[in-house]
Amino acid sequence: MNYILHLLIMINIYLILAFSLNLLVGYTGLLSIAQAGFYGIGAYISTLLVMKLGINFFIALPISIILAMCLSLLVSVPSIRLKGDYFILATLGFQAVIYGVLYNWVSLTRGPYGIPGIPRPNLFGFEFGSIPSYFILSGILALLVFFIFRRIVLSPFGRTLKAIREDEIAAMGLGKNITKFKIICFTISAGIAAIAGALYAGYITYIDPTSFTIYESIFILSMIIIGGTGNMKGPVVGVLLVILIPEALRFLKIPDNIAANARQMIYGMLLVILMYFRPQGIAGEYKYE
Amino acid sequence: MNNQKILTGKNIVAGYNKKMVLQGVSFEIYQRETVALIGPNGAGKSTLIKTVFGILKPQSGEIFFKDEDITGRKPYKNSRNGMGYFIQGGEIFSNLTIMENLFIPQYIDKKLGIEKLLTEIFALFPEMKKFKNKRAGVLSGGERQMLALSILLMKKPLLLLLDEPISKLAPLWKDKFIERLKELIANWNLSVIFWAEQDIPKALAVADRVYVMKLGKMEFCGTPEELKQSKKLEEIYLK
Amino acid sequence: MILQVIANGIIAGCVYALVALGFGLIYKTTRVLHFAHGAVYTASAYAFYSLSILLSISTVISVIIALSVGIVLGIAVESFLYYPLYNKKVPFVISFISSMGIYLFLINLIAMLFGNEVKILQPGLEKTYQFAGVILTRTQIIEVIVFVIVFFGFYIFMKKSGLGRLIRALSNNPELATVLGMNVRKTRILVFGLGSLLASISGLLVALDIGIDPNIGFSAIFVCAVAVIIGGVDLFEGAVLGAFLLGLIQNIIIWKLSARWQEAITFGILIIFLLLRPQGILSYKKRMEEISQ
Repeated sequence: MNYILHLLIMINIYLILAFSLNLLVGYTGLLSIAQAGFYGIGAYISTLLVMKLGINFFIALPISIILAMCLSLLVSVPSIRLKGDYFILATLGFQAVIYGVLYNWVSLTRGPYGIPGIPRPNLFGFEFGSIPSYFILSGILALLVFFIFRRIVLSPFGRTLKAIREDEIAAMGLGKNITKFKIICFTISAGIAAIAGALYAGYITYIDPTSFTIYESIFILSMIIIGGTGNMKGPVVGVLLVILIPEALRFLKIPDNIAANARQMIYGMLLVILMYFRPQGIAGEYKYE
Repeated sequence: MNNQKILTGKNIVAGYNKKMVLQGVSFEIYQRETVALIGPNGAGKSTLIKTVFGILKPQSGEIFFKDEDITGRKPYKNSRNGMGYFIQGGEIFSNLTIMENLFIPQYIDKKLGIEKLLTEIFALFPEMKKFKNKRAGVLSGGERQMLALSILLMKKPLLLLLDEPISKLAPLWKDKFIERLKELIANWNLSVIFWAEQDIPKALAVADRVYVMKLGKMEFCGTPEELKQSKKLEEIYLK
Repeated sequence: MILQVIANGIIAGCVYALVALGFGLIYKTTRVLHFAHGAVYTASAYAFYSLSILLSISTVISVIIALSVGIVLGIAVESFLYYPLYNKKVPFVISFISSMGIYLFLINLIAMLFGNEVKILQPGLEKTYQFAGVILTRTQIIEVIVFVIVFFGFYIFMKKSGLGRLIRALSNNPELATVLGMNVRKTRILVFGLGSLLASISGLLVALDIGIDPNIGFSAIFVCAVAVIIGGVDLFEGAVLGAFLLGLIQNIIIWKLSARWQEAITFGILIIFLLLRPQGILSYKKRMEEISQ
């Protein structure tokens, strides 16, 4: 039972990440492979605030969100004006750099040694120590993000994003400051990713840079690409599918040491096949036109 | 001009996505003939040229080139087969020198054998001589078009399809270009079909025959003289 | 000391430049962001490892076979992934995602077959040589020599040969190339073969110098991305310049500060470039329209 709850907690965390990236990729048409960077930034900032400054998780969380959003400006402002493929190259560069900082700034992050012993979140004395309680916490946050996402998407802001995605030149003609919208969108996306990071850190109670590599970025991207971008149900389908495939693999009794590799091979192949036959993903809408 | 047909189109219906611009047009071009397509906006002049070359696939109808059915054939095949398509605006390879630009058809198809061709081309467009080894990117608009046309000529095409070759040029260049076109037609063994929406008198000055199109249909076919006498132009443009 | 740092930077640049040149060539000519370039790089490195270390085949033959593996792999990815998508006229994002997918697949296949740990091909200390006050290992000297030969060969091929001009023409104006009857499919295959050869050479050099693990491909792609951004992609030489700058900057940072700051400073430089000169150093100003909006 605990194992199922564990899976559900991870699903919640990845749902948050999937929605954060979907806002960027599926609604604004900006393909970024730097999402794991902001996931990691969220994890590290909240962890450092909690452990080094003794701040309560629930106060550290909004601070991490804001800090992640500010840091994301360092990435978005120089890059946002670049055209598609150059933008992707830039996010690739920044992802590697963020990872490098997390890995090499040992005095701050303990680099490859990671930060162990992260305390579970504590709310007015109640510690979310048990798995069921963490499931509820993660579930609440995931639902919160879902509703925020929904509000954004259905608002005029969201409709402008969609307009930008469909036909940027036309949107410009309507007098909208495209750059501003894109930057705001990127910033929100980074902030939401940071929530997932804080949640992850509080759950696993240990973080190190290897959880936030380019492969993680690709993994998050794969989830929404496979499930579908550009709408609300795509990411959900994607997260469920991608988290549950490895479980199915377990039934096939594939040895653990190659299970991780086998999973990634399946994701990789799925991406290739989907791009040729169904680029909008299983349940999505956006075909990257 | 002998009566050998080089290009025939029968009842072509073609267009973009769901909108069929050409509503069933038929035409024929003879060897060593120059034909102009004129008509107002939306008549289908560019669509016709693109369909002949294969950029667009016709929904129905047939196209024959050198008595061979080429309906729907891909552009690169038509290109290899003796058609030269002049892209609107005059496209060139800006990173290569003029000489390299001219040699590209040779690199694509080594059978061409081009020394003599080069001499003729430089006779036709002497302006290009001084730029021979300069990057083509430095050329002005009019010079570009000359180069673009020259590259096509290096393929020794039997049929030149010119997509709106006149209007994009500066006024001085328009006359120059028409001049060279006349010289080209006189000295080379090829057929030319081109379209124009403005500069009708210039177009008529070069053409042996003219087709007038409107809303996807052929409204007139004949020599420029016949066209002037029929007053068809006023009819078409003013309605 | 500064000479040594510069030398190290240049040598690093040599290896970076080869893989970046391949990437830039492919990107410029086909507009494909060939993420799987990293997989070609890794695959040939592992092929070389398998042949020369595991199977004890002679170095020369191992090199030839390993390079061939890389070339064939690159061409296969083009023929089975990118070209079908090109025919469907898909937006570039789709080709990129497909490239990421095949990269994931191949890298994990390699990891599954060989394990995730780092493998060293030349254990122990290497013979070193002194040269104008600078110390170089034998492998480093090989890297420089290989780079010089390959780069000049590439340069002459591109500038002077018919095929080279065709490739440059295709990069410059794909529409005109098609209209003139160029066999685009064959030219693309040539481009991928050439680009993959460059990646494979680079991969082999790195394998000899440092060692291999399944993730070296990503480091290579990172280098390609930064080199292309700094150097610009208008000319093939841009990626080379970017690669050398990256190598120099990295080594200077390691010397003056410490390895810890490598990433942060690369970050800063990327930001500066993107803000001030997004088209890269060697691009023609008018290309701005091509990359920004």
